[in-house]
Amino acid sequence: MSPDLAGGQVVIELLYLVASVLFILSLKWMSSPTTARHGIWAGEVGMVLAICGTLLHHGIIDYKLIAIALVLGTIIGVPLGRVAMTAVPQRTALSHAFGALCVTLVGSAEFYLRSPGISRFGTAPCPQP
Amino acid sequence: MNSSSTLINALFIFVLAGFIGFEVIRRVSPLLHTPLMSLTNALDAIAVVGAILLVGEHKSQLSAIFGFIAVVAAASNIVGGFLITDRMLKMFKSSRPAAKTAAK
Repeated sequence: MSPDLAGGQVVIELLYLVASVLFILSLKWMSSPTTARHGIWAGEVGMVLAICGTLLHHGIIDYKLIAIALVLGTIIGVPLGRVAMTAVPQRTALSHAFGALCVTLVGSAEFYLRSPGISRFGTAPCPQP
Repeated sequence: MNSSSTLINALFIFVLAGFIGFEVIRRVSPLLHTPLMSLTNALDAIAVVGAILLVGEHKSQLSAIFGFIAVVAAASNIVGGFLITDRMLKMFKSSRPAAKTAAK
């Protein structure tokens, strides 16, 4: 994190912080049946905040492609959320594979973008434009 | 910030986050293990943040294509994961009052 954060950057970082807290609360509330519903709400709100915060980044120029990808993902995701209850284990396994695909692609692309100027132990920094 | 102090900061976050994760998950009732799996599945799609940045900044053709596929995969996880967790918990809700009355 750079020491001279611009005004907009502070808002984004704060949104990320709130989202992280909501994610931890979400998992915590999931551990008892009485609060499990709150757990889902906290997770949803946290996810929306994190996505909104990301869309506020001033480096983002191509909103159309993001919108297309999000809509396409929703179209795939809705049937995946409506499978029969007996098919849930397979669905969760497949969904974990999607998560892994996403993380792999993000990591590979970031490495590709930074590979010219990267040092041996310099692979740790998160994307901070 | 030089790269070694960034690495140490990242290690701090990693280890402390590991403890938080362990403590939060430790006492989950076995009844909720399946919804918890779907919920974590939805939450781990937070990698969509990095993917959106890749697509939006459009620094190169390859990174934008990778980012696009990543956003699609993560968005399907978010939507599907929250939907199915919600459906599971609805089933719990409908069966719990019945169990209570049976116990009475």
